Amino acid sequence: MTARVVKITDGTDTVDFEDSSSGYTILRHRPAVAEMMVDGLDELYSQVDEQFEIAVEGSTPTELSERLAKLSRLIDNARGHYQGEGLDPVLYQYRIDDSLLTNPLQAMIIGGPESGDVLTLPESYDGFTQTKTGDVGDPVVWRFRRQGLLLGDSESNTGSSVANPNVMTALLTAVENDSPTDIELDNFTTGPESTSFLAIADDANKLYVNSLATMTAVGFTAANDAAALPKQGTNILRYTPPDTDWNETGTFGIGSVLRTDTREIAIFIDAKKSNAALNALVKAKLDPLVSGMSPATIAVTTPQTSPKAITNTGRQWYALGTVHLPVPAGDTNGISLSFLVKCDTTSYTLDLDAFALVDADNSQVLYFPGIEESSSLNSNLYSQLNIIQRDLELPYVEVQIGTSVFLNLPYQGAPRIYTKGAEVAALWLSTSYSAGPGGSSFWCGVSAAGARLSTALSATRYPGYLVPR
Amino acid sequence: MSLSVQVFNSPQKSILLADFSRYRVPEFSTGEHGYGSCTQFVPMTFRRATMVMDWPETPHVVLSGRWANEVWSGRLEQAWYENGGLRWVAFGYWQALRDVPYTALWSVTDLRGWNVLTVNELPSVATPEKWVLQNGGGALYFASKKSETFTASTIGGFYYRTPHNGKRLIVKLDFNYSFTASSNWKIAVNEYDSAWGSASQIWSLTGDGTTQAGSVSITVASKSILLIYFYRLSSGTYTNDTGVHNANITNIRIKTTSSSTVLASAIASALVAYVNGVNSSQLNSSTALIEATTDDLQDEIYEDAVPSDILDRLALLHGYEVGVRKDRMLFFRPKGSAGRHWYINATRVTDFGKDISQVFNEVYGIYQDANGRTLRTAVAANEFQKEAMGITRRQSVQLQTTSSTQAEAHRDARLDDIDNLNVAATIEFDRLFDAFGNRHNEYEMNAGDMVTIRNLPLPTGSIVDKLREFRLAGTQWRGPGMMILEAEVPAPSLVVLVAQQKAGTR
Repeated sequence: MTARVVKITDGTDTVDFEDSSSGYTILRHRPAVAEMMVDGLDELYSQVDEQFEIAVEGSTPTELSERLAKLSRLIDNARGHYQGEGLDPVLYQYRIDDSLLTNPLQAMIIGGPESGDVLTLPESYDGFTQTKTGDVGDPVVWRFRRQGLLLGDSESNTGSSVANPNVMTALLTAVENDSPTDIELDNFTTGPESTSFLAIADDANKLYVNSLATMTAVGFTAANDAAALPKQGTNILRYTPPDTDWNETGTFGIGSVLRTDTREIAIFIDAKKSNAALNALVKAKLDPLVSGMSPATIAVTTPQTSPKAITNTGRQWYALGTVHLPVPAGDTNGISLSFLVKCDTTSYTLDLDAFALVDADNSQVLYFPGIEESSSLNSNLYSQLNIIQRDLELPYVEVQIGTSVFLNLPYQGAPRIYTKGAEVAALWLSTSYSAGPGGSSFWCGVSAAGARLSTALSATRYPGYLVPR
Repeated sequence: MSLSVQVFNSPQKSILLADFSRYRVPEFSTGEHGYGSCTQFVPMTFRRATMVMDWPETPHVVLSGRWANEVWSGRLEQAWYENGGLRWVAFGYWQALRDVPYTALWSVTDLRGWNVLTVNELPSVATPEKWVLQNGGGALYFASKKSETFTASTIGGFYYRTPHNGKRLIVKLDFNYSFTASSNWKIAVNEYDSAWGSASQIWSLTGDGTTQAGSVSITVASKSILLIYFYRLSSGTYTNDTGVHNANITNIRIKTTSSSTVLASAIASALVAYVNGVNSSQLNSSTALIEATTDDLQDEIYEDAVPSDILDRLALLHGYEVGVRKDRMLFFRPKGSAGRHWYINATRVTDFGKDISQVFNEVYGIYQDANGRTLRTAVAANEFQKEAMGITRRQSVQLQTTSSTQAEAHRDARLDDIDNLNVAATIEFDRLFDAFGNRHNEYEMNAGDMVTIRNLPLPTGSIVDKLREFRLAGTQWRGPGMMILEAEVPAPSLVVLVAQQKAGTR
């Protein structure tokens, strides 16, 4: 039988309502229950205000005053920590009687309540001469605001290592609410040219990557680029412009790789232009065939992404945007993917290696711009990527170099990751330069020796609860 | 999960200075020039706010959607400590086109820039008193005076000089000539650098006793000064009547590009390179979103002009839109050519009216001839609008050109811009769809997109039709479920307000 826990602590100062010697007694407390926010900016769940009606006593008037002051000080510290001051986080810890949980749930306190005072003394409070204050009819009222999700003990899993770029997975126990999840990639390169995307989803079927090498058409031919480690292993698709108009690659059927209820897809492409003077635009196009009464199938007006400029003469992944299908993927007779390319001159070429699809339902993508290095280094950093949620603070993204050196990694997007299903899937889209000055670039993440990286996904989830238990 | 807010040290994003995603909703806008402004209030102590204000360089702000897709980006220009926190304001990279003024000559046909050569320019050879030198009637006229004594070093001429410290040098000179003189006389063209050094004769024609006429296109070796001059090959006194020996130079055009035409799209590309040449990180060097124009611009000279003003004028003249949006790329393209089409259902119309004060159904252009005389094009009219309004409302537009063809093209572009009946309304809607009924986030809307209100009453006259479909002039996102749209009509604007959903809950 587990005992009830109601505690607020920053690791140094503690208010423990279940410790009779603490001097704090709950007269009335009803734990708040958060809600999921559809359009939550950073956090998925609303913040909530907690209110305690309590009695406080001390062995001396001075001790009573100090215990009252602690209530206010803890919330001040919580506010300071949340605003980035160098203070420890203040945690609200709660576990009901006879709970099935080994450890109490906890949530970070972020400051005072949305309205009202942090601490309201009883009307009968008479200054510094008493040793007890607050009773049922006239309590000490203590209010604060906390993060809405209550977090339990974490669970971790590491999936199999896969050659880059391929979908990685990790398996966890499904939980009832979308819960913060730490992500680790055990092999990760970053450098001045190594911009990359990391797509995370709750189902491996929401992530897909494949080579463009077979999508030949007029102007688009397979070309050997094996030394740069393309997705297909040998060939990439090379566009030699026949003119300066839009031209289309061959098609690739993606109807069977998408989930039946897929409606919105984010599309990425790996490209390289042969000369800095070339202005090249790329956009993706989907051709869904829809079953109809007559004729049997009709080609619906094709959704396309906005033109994306290919700006780098180095190999790089580009986000082309999202496409919304006119009907769910399962209601089509097939979906053909193709790419349209336009160059402002016929003098240069454009290489296309691979494309990636991310089902936009319950997935997210982070973009890493790469780290600027001094010219003397001129190499990638080969290390582990960590996206950390567990400290209940603003999530942070770091690259681990060696055993104990961490480097904050610049990123774009939302690093706060929530999952709840049994599967956590990730797809890392990267290119990289080989080590050493003047190294050539590759279509994938590579090791110091210039070999294709194999990377495994580790996921650590902190199950979240809205209702204390 | 909606938008994330990251601040980097520069557009290269090598250092993440702050992640402000957890704080209050940022508000951002888009407008005719791409991304407009963005602001956010971040609670923080005064000490931390001073550290933020001391961030080096001009920080780069990015708002991203769920797939790390850029929703808005700009540079952080303002930071204020107020009410217990920091309010920062960033502006889109159209601002980069306001950082440095631009001075350059691209093409000139206007003769007013040609000056008589005097001893102040070339003291050893200039003898304007021995010549009749006239600039007028669309021509430069040279004639030797009777009874004057000439040598090979007594020349009469006109010179043209590029703007001081301008960014472009002359590479082409075209003109027609008519030259009547004996074999002892010559007309020629010299090129010089800005200090009248590095002289070189790049064209000449010797008299043959008859009237010689023709046209020339001369390659100039990137110089600042051109001199067209008349001189005698050997010493002697001129005994014929004044004007018997003469030269007439007409249809003069100076260019600083070797291309046969001077295009607005080329100027736009050059301005991107110019801005990046001064501030390398501000604009994307790619010119992939600059679409080629076809009008040959005859008179384009910029002196201490702001690049944004130059582009605004060029866009207006061509019916283009210009701005900076995704990836800091300058777009210069036909108006509305890249916009998306959205569909909404109005939930409430709170006010509605019309105003013709900003509507004109006829336009004429004002331009100049080569001598600066003011000319006016014929009037272009929107006959349908005249019928609808029952009155003629006519506007003039000032144009910088000596070409009647160009003036008429620009006149027509202006008429397209201002012949729409002005309708004002405040309408609320709560959801945004594409053509297939897929729901989208309202922050995906941008200036330049088309919007159709699906559920306005039918059939109706032209008034409600003006409401039914319109192009966006601007958007203001103030948080989830709160978007204000401005239609592309002259002020007062059509303002469409998104009905607030219950904040923060499903």
